[in-house]
Amino acid sequence: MANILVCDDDKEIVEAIQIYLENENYHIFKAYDGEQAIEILKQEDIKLLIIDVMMPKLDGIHATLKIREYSSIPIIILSAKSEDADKILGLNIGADDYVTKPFNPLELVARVKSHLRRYTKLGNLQENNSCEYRVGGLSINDETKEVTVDDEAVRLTPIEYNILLLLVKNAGRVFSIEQIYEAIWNEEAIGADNTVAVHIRHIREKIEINPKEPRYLKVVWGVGYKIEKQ
Amino acid sequence: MRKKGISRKRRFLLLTAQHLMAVIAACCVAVIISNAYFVVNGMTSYYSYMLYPWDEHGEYEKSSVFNHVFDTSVNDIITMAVIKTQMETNGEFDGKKKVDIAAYVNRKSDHAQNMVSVEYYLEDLLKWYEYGFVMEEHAEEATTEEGMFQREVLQERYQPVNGGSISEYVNSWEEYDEFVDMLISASRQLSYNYDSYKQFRDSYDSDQTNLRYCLMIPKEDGRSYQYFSNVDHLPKRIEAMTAEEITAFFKEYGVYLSYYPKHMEYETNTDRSEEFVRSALNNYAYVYPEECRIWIGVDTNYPVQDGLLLGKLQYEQFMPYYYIWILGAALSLIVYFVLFILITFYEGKVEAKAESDETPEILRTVDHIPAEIMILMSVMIGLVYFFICCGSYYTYLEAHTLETMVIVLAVLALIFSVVFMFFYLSLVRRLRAHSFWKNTMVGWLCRKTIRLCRRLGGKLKQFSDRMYNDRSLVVRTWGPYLFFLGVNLVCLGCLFTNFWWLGLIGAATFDLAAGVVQFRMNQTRQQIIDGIETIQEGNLSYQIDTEGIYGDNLALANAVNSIGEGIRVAVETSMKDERLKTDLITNVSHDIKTPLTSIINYVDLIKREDIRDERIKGYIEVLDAKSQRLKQLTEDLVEASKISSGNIVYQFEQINLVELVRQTIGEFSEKFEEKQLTVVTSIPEEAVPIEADSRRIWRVVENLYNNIYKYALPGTRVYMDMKRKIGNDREYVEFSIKNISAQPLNIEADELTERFIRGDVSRSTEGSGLGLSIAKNLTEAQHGSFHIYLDGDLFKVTLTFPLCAQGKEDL
Repeated sequence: MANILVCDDDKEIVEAIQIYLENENYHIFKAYDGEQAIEILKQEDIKLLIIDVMMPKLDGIHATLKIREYSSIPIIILSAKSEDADKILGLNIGADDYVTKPFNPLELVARVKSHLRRYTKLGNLQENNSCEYRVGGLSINDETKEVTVDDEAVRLTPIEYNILLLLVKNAGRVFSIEQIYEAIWNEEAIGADNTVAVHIRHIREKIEINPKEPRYLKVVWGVGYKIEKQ
Repeated sequence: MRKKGISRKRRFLLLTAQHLMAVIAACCVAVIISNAYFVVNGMTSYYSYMLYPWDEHGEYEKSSVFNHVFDTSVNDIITMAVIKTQMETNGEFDGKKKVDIAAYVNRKSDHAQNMVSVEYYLEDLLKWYEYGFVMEEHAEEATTEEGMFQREVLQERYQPVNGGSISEYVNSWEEYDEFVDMLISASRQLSYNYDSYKQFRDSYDSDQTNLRYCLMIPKEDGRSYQYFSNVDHLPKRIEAMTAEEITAFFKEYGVYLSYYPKHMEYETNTDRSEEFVRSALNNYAYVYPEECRIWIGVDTNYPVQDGLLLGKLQYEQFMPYYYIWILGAALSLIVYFVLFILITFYEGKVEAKAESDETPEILRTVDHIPAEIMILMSVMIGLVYFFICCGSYYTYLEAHTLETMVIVLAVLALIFSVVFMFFYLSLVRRLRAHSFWKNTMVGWLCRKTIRLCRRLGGKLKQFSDRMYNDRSLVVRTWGPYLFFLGVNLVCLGCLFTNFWWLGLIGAATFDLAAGVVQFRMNQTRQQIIDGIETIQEGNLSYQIDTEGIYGDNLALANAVNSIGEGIRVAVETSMKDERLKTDLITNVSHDIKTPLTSIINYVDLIKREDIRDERIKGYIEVLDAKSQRLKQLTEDLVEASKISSGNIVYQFEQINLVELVRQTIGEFSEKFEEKQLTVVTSIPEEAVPIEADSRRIWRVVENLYNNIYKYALPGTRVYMDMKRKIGNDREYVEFSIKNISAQPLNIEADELTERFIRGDVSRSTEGSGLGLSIAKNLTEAQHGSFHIYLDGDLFKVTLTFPLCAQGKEDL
């Protein structure tokens, strides 16, 4: 399987991540500072990098900047810094994902998988037809009624499917609960209760790696729901 | 702006040209005066005559100069004839001529008849006047109404023709006195006339003048005539000639005049009118009765050197050039004034120099002399100059040659021009440099005085400040009041004296001044109050301007300023501390998170191991739960400190609160079901728009729901109510959540929102205790209010937000 480089100055964290990822049959390289990481990247065929920010010698941000000069591999930043500003900085300088410590190991594994799938299979999935809708790693085939996230099939109920289809078809547009209700149930929303909200939560739990920080189905609190255009 | 100027050299040239013009003008004037003006020695004094430029056309005999000379001469002849009648008998001086005193003195009037008539010899009278009239005391005393006094009588040096003394001719002392007065007067007048006679007897003889005359005056007897004439080559004796013959003879002359008042016969070829001759004769009507005849002629061959010939020569010589000289004088004067204006314009303006922008000093050494001294000097020089001018006028009269005239006038004009320009240009420079006032002694004195006054005022103020500030409150309050009262009383007292007006004015002025002072004090106090209010409103850096504030108000203002400054510093320090605390908490939490990550990860790894022992499994569960709690705790801690220190940027947008509540209930529906909590909502159908940060308001509601999930008694109902309300002229929305607490709430409502404070017993359950604190802070930061109400086990949270001005329908 693919080679993954894990870089963190805390050896225990690196080893824990190694255990989780090796369970998923990935081959792990370990580095304990930015310079080591860059060395290994040059020597080995690395498919994905998980890198800490606060490290000796060369920190994660600068390392990412350097790596981005010649490589487009997925980079997941793993940091104790959880401020919005830190996340925005990390994503802006070229990282593909930003996971804060302490992290859920399973979430991290899921993100690694997701990024790898997209990275390795990007370009040979050009089978777009009129019935297929795609937003990032999320795709809906309206003929087969199949929904996949990063090529993994997701099982949705018919109502959940219809809501998701509505949002994906109009990616970027915000739908309020009433609008969704009227579109799906085809009847006037008189005192529409929290049904729609519950369905949305279920969808999120199924298609998102971390439902509290959704990548696709985003909640605009007090306004409505939308699928982020990517 | 650069001023245009002229170089020194050019200025010098201009000035020289100007002075030259003055000299030329003076020369022209000198030429005009010395040519147009001539002096003839006349009978009574020097006669000066003037040529007038407008006489230019015509002959000399028609010019005004000729007329002038002619008139004077005619008058002289008539006068001389009168004198001769008094002095001569048959053309010779007659000392033995008898003079009737009363008749002579009153010759111009007709009073002589009733006077005492006493005759004296002419020579006696002339000699007597020369010798002097001497009075001596008379033997008897006079008695008048005023009293007694010593009578004076004339010492009779000469006797009347008929001999005897005066007293023999008069009848009373009054007549005597009157006669003596007349005697003295007559001898004086005769003496004057004798002097003129001696001097001018021959000045109108035929070899002295070109004027020919013949006066025929009737003698006293009325039958024969007396002849006065200077015609020396008549065809026969003049007495033998008839009047017509004489007239014919005189008509031979180039200019003639014949007058016979009796028959109003007047013939002349001059433009002199009869009026002129008549008025000349009228002065001596007692000599020239109507029967007299007058012939006057001028020998226009001018064989004799006299005033007429002099006038003719001057006239013919100068008249053609008269206007040229006037023109010359006028032109040079015009050029003079043009140059004057030009120099005035350029004076004090410095020549513009390309290389340097700095303006050189335009004042000269002389300009620093005080203006008063300059003025005094100029006045003195002016006076000296005036006297010199007067002096030179007389010099000219004595030696009136053209050369002296020209030289004197030219020198005078040059001196005037140079001196005048010297002072004038100094004045111009001073004015241009705006230093006139500065350079006056008065100005200097004024400045000194003002400076002295200021210094004195400053000292006085210092003194009064010291006196005033060091006194006790009683002195400070009552002192000015008593002073005020005292001055008013003094003024009142003045009202009853002669100086009542002084008292009135004094009182009015003083009371007005006191009012102004009072107003000023209140004004500054208001300023201080405004300052305090400004600080109160939160502008802590505000400082009251203490300029122009004195006394107690100054102390007050300074105190307010220092208090304000103190508060500002305190607030700044506290804000800085809060920020530092937040930074500390953030940094510490980073350091905690790294080991926590390992703990969580390895606990998770252990959980994956196949452990059969239930006891160990239980331990692992505890580890798992506590590590998760620690994770939550650090995150909440960072967030709470950031929120409370205001270290967050809010992105406000319009939000539908109804939508938010539905979304959140949807999110929490399974959690609530887990605890068998039933949500009972009472929410409006329509949208309720508020201004809020979408993510932050979610955080508020999330925290509240989490709170319910954690602490509500399972199996109970949760009430959520939302209502639009109106208060304080604003529409707002009130959202309340009610639930029953699982634990007794033996705590104050306020304490629940304080950090780390929760319902006492529930400390052992999960949660950081920061949830409500965060919710409250976030709500208030989004302009809402957060209120907790506790009643027994009832827990009620009320959120209120102001409604948006315009709600969107599609929300």
